[in-house]
Formats: sequence, structure tokens, C-alpha cells
Amino acid sequence: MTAAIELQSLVKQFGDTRALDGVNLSVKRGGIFALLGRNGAGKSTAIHCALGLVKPDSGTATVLGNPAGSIAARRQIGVMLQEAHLPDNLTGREHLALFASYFPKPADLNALIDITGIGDFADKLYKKLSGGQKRRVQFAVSLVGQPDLLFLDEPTTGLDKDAREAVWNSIRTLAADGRTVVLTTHYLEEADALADRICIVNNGRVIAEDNADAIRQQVGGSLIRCQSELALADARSLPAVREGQRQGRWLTLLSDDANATLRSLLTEDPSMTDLTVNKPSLEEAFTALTNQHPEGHA
Amino acid sequence: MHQRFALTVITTTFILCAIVIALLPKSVTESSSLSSETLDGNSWLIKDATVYDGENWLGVTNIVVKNGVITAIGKDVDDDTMTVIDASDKVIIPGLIDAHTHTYGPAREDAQRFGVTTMLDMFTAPAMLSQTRADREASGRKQGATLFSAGMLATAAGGHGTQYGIPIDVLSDPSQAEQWVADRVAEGSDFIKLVYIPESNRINSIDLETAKAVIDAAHRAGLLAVAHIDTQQAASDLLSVGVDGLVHIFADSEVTDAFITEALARNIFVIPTLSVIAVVDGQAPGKMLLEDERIASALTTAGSASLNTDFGGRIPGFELQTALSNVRRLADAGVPILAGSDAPNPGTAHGATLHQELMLLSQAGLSNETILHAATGLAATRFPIGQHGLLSVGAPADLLILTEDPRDDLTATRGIETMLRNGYVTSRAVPVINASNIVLPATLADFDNGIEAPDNFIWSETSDSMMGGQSSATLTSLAQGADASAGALAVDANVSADFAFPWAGAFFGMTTNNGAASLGSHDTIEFWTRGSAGRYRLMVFGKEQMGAPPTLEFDVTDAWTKVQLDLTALENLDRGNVTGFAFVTPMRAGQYTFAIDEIRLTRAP
Amino acid sequence: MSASVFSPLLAEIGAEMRQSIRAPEFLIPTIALPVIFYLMFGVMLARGGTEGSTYLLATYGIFAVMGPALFGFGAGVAAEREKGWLRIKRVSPAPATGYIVAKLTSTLVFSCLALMPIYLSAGLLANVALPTQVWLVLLASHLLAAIPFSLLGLSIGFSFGSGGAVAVANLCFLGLAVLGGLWFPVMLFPGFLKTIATALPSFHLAEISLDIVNADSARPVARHLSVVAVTTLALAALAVWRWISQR
Repeated sequence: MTAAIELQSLVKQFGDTRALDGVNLSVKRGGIFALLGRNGAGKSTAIHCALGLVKPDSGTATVLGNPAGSIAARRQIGVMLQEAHLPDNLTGREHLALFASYFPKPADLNALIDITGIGDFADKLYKKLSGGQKRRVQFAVSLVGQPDLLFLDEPTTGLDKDAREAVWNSIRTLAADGRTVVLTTHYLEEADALADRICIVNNGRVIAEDNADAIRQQVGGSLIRCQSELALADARSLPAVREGQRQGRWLTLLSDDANATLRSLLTEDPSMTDLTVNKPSLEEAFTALTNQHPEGHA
Repeated sequence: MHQRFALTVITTTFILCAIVIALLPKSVTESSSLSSETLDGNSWLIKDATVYDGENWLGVTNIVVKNGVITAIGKDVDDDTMTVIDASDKVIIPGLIDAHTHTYGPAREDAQRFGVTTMLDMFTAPAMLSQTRADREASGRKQGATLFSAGMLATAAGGHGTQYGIPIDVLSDPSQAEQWVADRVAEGSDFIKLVYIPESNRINSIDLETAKAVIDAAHRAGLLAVAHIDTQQAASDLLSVGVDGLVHIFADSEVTDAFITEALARNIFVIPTLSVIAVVDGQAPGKMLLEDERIASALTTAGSASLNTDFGGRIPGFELQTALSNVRRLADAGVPILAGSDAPNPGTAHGATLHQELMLLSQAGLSNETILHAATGLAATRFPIGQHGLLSVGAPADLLILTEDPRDDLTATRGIETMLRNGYVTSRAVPVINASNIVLPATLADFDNGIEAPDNFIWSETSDSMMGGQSSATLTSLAQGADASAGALAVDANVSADFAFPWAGAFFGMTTNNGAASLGSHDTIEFWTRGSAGRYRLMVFGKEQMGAPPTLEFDVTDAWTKVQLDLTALENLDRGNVTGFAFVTPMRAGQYTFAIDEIRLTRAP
Repeated sequence: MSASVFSPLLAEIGAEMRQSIRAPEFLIPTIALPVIFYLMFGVMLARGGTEGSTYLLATYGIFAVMGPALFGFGAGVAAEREKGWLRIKRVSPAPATGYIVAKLTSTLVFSCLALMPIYLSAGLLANVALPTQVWLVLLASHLLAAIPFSLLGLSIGFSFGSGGAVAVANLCFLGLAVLGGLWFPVMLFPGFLKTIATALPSFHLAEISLDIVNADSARPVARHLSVVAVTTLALAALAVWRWISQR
């Protein structure tokens, strides 16, 4: 069986910026795949290549075995783009009906309205909806074609906690049905909560691709937090310290060998207090990973 | 959801537009209703017609007409400055040529209504020629068909052609031929027609030597010589002396192979006039024409009446079947056949009968294409008629726009949607005679104050000089009238024997050319008369009258006598369309003086 | 939903028209404005003969189709492009032509709705009487004029942001109308304005319609038609170029 998404050696240059610098990515069918990266890291460009919106300078993008952007590919995917709005003067239901006409086997619209929980505002004009309601209508629209592969670009931006929970549940249900969901998110918590696999893009390259635990594991080490007067530069030069940050009196150090670092730290600053030592979270792992690959060009 | 909305909106918009267009005020169509008289001018771009140019079928073609003349013809010719006649799905053929007619009265006008734009006349009064010759070259609107004529015919004293009352310069000797032809040239004859019927036991004929002399003289004068014959023998005789064409087919015997061979060798043509042979054979073919509304609608009452007449019985020696078979064999052999009607013989009518001739040629077995050629372009190859009958650059724009294709149905030539004459859209409507607006007054004249007539009427001299005779009449006023009245009309008449039916006298007619008046409730005319003794005649003229006018006779003596004549005794009188009365002398030659007075119309008790 | 090929196209057309009908800021200037202008100049001020009313019927008809074409395409496409709607459509299986065809159909429908009140005013108030087929050919000539204006609108929509597109569409709308002789006959123009007029498609389209109603003497229709054809092709090329470069 072909992969859901197959990106091979994608290169894309926008002016002076090399947005994609040889991206290779293979997303297997089934499950939820999260694409993480800072703004400008190249994750949007990679997704746009997969959708056919951007034509790469070199390399190939294949979606469900079809060239990206081909009509065969477009018939099998659902897309929810960030910063892309539906026309103002149609209702949600009318948007769903219009999209239903594009697909050979569209979903039952009433059922879709129920599943996505937009029933309360499906008959209001799009322009009268709140930001969160607009996102949920867009989400419903992305599902009209009963897609095998769903692209969700920041799907829960602007949603309150309940609505976000509802969308998460929908995504889990879709994945449970055997569909593939590819999402980009800047909520690491969201990726952590949903994704079976996570891919981190930085500087136009894939720098890590694995499940959440493995990503955390990849970072390894221990996270040391304390209140200390020690200069950040000095702290960073302590043994085994990979990364250091200061927020006010709080000092955070990522260490490959907590014992060695702690010994030196206590020597350098005997007055430090409130010491904790932890394994890093996904967010901390992400920060660590992307800092190891600083964005040179931007 | 959206689909239904789209269909609803589009349909509603469409219906809305249709309703609005229907509600909008409409003006008269200018270019699509081709038969309308609103079309004016004589310059057109006729587009997308299926055109027959008189010789070839050109397919879908455009024709440019400028100032009445065809200036371009072809598939790609175009001129967006010109008014367009859209003739898509229409068929255009040249105006028809009737290759055998005799032209009297409204013949040219009548023929034109049926799409006959050129007539080849085979004998008419020479006086007609100068007038029609001038009209031939005129570029304006045409009231009637263009005429080419033989003028007077070559015949023997008492021969065929002398029976119509027109004075004939008869031939008795070959030595007269040269001068005879020279006289015809002077009169303006376009070709020479001779009558050669030596086998007839009823009527005289010139002999073959004279016929040959006339033919030779015609050829020397550069004229065509065509002949009226009645038998195969007569036709053979003329072939041997160089005749150019026969203006009838013989129907006394089946054409022989020898004749066909000779006809081809001599390159003659034949105008069979099957229509008139059909009438002579008692077939009454004109009655069928009357049943076709396309024909009937363009016929005058006189035309209809003529189609209903016959020769009063069959004449032996004219078998229609033989004529048809002879035409077919000649045509099959390649002898050119032209379409001619021989109107206005009994059973025929100008214009209408040519359409019947086409059907009879079809009955003879000619193809529709051949027949259309026979009625158009073929004549131009035989007679000196320029480009008449052809649609070619430089030709006058005489053309017929037909709704159907005559190749499929020959009667399509009757379905003329529009006729162009000299480029002008020309009416095919029968002129309306407004009969009711003038009623003849009870007193036509009392001459108490000289030669006076009521409004719209005038007294004038009349004599056979208008038909080429030598008689004359002079009108004067008398001081003393009949019945002790104050004045009377005096007529001094000199009747010459040069004319077959001589007359001279006084004519009471209308001041307008095409007016007519009604007798109203009157049925009797009464007047006083005196003068040179004899049996005088009162002739009553009618608007559409053809042939001799209805005539009543009265006796005149030296003493004033009151005459009362019953007008109801005149069978052919159209009481609503009287154009005049003529009081004329007896037919005998001599000097006459007579007076008339107190002319009144009355009603019998 | 029917599986007909026309189904997506019809849905697109229906959705397009539904949106337009809900946009009074589009409807009022495009449908009401032309007929109000015609009532003022073509009916009230042209009293005493149908000649003026007939002339302005031909030219205001062109004016009437310019609105839906320039604003529907120009402003509409720009706004939808800016909001990302075109990107959503591009990743969906919707055919690219469907969007254009739907907008063109919608433009023609609204053109009809703008034209009919003008025709009615001309016929019923100004007593303009034409043969039936002339009314129909006039309608066809007015509707065909929507095509070059739609292409121009499309180019504007692909070239400017939503605010800029409205401004440019308005500029074109008024400029083509006034300088092309749609509001006042070109023959009233001073010489240099006449020269400008002959460079505008609106002038040539109006001349074709004027020839149809025959409100004036002979016009070189073939030349006007070829100018319109060339202009339309050029605008089509411009629209295609702008479309490709905005992607």
C-alpha cells in the first residue's frame, strides 16, 4: 500500500529564503501525524507542496499514490487551511452543499453537521459567525468528501477549551475509522495529546520524526531548575550542559549528566535555592531540538 | 440546493426577458419581411441565397446589387455598407423569360406579376415598339416586363395574323422581302417572325420562296428569323431554307429521325408553346392554374376569364400527346427548347401560363433543371436580349426570391416571396380598381354650352388610327340641338378601308388614365342623333376589358331621332368599371357626318 | 445530488448568485444605477422624439452590463482571493473553470436584470419601438459586451487587493462609461476626447449596439467588431497572465 504522503528531496526557494532544503518525509496511512516547526521553518511550504498549492523547485510530492495537486489526489483529501476563509454570504449548510457537489461520494450533510457539532449555527451566514464557529464550519467543510487523508492546519486556533476538546474527539474518531490525519499545530500539547507520530521541521529540513516518547528520548538528559545568581554564560559552560536559559532569578539548564552538572553548579553558586531535576517535556524537547539547529538565514 | 436555485434564477431571468421583450413596442420589420413594400432603393446585399444564375446552380451565394445592376456575385462577396436582404434558406432564380407572347393592353404588367421580367413578343402592333424600346433601357422602377419583339409578322394576304384588325404589310412575292425587312428594321423589330403554313386549307400562306427570301433578308440585316409552322412538313421546309427557330412545335405527326438530325445540323431552337396546343386540343389546362392560389392571387379578373376560355372546340392536327412526345425527342437529342406561353390566346393569360408551360415541359419529360434553363438563361444565348435571364455581373437585377427549391418542385417558381425588377422590390399585387368612387351622372352631356362633359370626363375624337388605321374624326359644337335644345355635338368622320375593323367617332371617357366609373342604378342609355344614314355603333369600354368592347348598334337618319339602348343586353359589361362610351360610324369606308345630343342614363321602368 | 456533469457547475452558479443576491452593496449600484441614469438622461431629458432615447438605449445597455462584470469579477475575485477562498477551492476537486463560468453566468443574469428595466423604460416611457428581432439582437449585443468587461474585471481581481480592486473597478467603470460615450454621445465630445473614445472597448461595443438600433447613419460595424474581438483576446490574455502570476 502506498504511503499517505511521500515527500522526496523537496527544495523550494522563495527569493533569498530557502524554504525547503531537501525535505524527505513519508507518512504512513492511518493514525494522526503532527508536523511541528517554528514559523518560517518550512512546515507550511511542505504542506502546500503536498496540497499542490506550491510547486517545488525540485523533488516530488505524492499524495495517496497520486501526484500532489492532481484531481485524483484532491478527490481523496480534505483540507482545512489556516488564514483561508469561506465566502461571507453563504451559510455553513450552503457551503457544505456546494462542496458536496465537487465529490463523487459526499458525506451525508445532516450527519456531518451533527458529528462536527455545528448544528446551532449551520444556517447562519458565515460572516455572522464567531472566529471559533468559522473554524468549526471550515473543519466540517474539510470532511464533506469523506477524505482518506485530512490536512488540518492549526485546527483549534481560536477555539475555547470545550470546542477544542470536541474537535480533538472528532479527529480521534476519524483516525479510528482508518483515515490519516496530518495536522500542523503550535500547541505542542495538542500534538502530544493526539499524534501517533511527530515530525519536527526546522530550517527547511526534517530534523526529527518519531512518536512523542521517542522525541523526548531523543533529547535525553535532565532538566535542572533553580534560583541562582550565576551568569548564564557561566552556567552554560558548566560540565555536561547542553542548553541554558534564564528567566529572572530562575535558571533552567538541560544537562546530559545531571550529577556532574549539579556538582559544579553547587560549587559555583552555593547560594542557589529551590532546586528541581526533571525529565524534559515535549515542549522542552522541541525547544531543545530546534535550538540545536538554529535558523541561520532568517 | 444550489443547482435548483441556479435553474430557478436562470429560468426566471429568461422568462422575465421574454416577457419584457413581448411587452416592448414593436416597429415594422425592415429586412426580414421581404415581401413588404417598405423596402426601398435599388441597391442591396443579398446574402446566403441558393442561387441559380440562369445557367448554373451556384450553391449558397451572395449577390451585390448597385443601382439596379448586379455588380458582384459569389460566395465571399460582401459589402457592409449596403442594406442586407437575408435570403438564407431561400432560392434565387433570374426573372423568367416568356419566349412567345403577343403584347396588347396590360400584357407586360400582367406578366411581371408572375415573375416574367422579359417577354419575347412574336407579333404586335409596330406602334408598341418605340415605346417599349425606350422602357427597356430605363433604369427606374418597371411597371411591366421588358419587351423584345418581332413587331409585324411576315404573312400572306388573308393569312394567319391578318385576322386581328391590325393593318399588316402582307407579302405576296419573294422580291418584296428585302424592303419588307428593311421596314421592320426601321420600325424597331428585334427579330423577324414569319408565318409559313402552306398545307392549311383554311388560311393563306406565303410560299417557301418568299419565306426563304424573308429569312435571307433578315440574316443580311443581322436579325434572327423565327417561324410559326403547323406541320412537320412546313417545319422541314423552313429548316432547309435556314430558319433559326420554330415558335411552335408541330403536333400533326411524330417527329422523324431525319428531322431531328437536320434540326441538330442546322442548330435551330424550338419554342413549343405546349400550353396553347393543350388548349387547341381541348385540354382546358388554364382551369388547373386557377386552382393554385399562388397563381389566382395575382390574376386580374380579365386574366381569370381568359384562362377559362377556349377556341370553341378542338382543332384537328394538334395532338397534345404528339406535341409532348416530339418535344421530348427533340430535347433528348439536344435541340434547345425554350419556354413560351403564346399568351393571350384563348385559355392562356400573360405570366400565369408560362408557369403552366413549365409543367407541360415537365410532362414532356424534361428535367426541372433543363426547364429552368429553358425559361431563363437559354433565351439569352439565342435571342439578342443581352444579359436578360442571367444573374451575372452587369446584368439588370431582375430576380425572384423563392421560398422553395424549383429543382424539387417546379411549381416553386410560383411561390415568389420577393421580386426585384431593376433592383427595386416590385409589387406583385393586382392593382386595385376603385370602382365605387365615381358614379356616372344621369346627364352625360347636353352640349348646351359647347362640348362639355361632367367632372372627371372628357370628349375626344376616336378612330382606328390608334391601332395603325387611316380613319379620322373631328368634333365640333352645333348651335342648335335636338328637341329644341341649345346645342349638340357634331362629328365629321372619314373612315378608311385600310383597317380590318375600321371606326371613327366621338369618345366620352375619363380624364384619368386608370380611373373607372359605375353605372350606378342606370340600365339604359338614351340620346338624340341625326346624320349620314347608316347603322352606327355604341361601344362601352371597361377597366379590365380585353378584346373587342361590348357594342350596341343604332340607326341614324337625316332627322333627329331619340335612341334608347338597353345596357343590360351587354353580357360582358362590368357595370362597376366603365371607362367610356364611343359613338362610332358604320364599318364601311366613307365620309360621315353625324350629331348627338341630350345623352342621359336612365332606368327602365 | 445528481451525478450529472452539470451538477457541480450548476451548484457553483447557484452559490455564486445566492451570494450576489445577498450583497446589496453589489446589487444597488449594478442594477438600480443604470436605469436611474437612463430615466434621467434617456427619458426625461430626451423628450420630443424617440431618436435620443433610442440612441441612449443602445449606450446605457452597455453601461448596464459593465457593473455586474467589473464589480462581480473585479471586486469579487479580489476579495475572495485575499480571504483565501480561492486557495480552498484549489485544493478541492472543484474545476478551475467552474468558478469563472459561474461568475460569468451570474454576471449575465444580473446584466439581464439591469437591462430589462432600461428596455422597459425605453419602450413604455420613451416610446422606442423596434422590430422584435432588433430587440433580441440588441439584447444579445449587450450581453456579449459582458465578456470583455468580465475579462477586464478578472484581471483587476487577480491584480489588486480587495480595497484596490474596488477602486480600480470604479475607475474603469466611470472612465469607460463617460469617455466611451455611454452617458453622452461621442459626437458631443471635443476632438481629443473623441480620440480617447476610439481607444476604448466601450465605445466600439456601443457603436455595434447603435448600428443594431440604427439610431444613426451607416457605421463601419465590421471594424468595430474586429476591434472588439482583438480587445477581448487581449483582455483574455491579460486575465490568464494575471491568474497565473497570482498563484
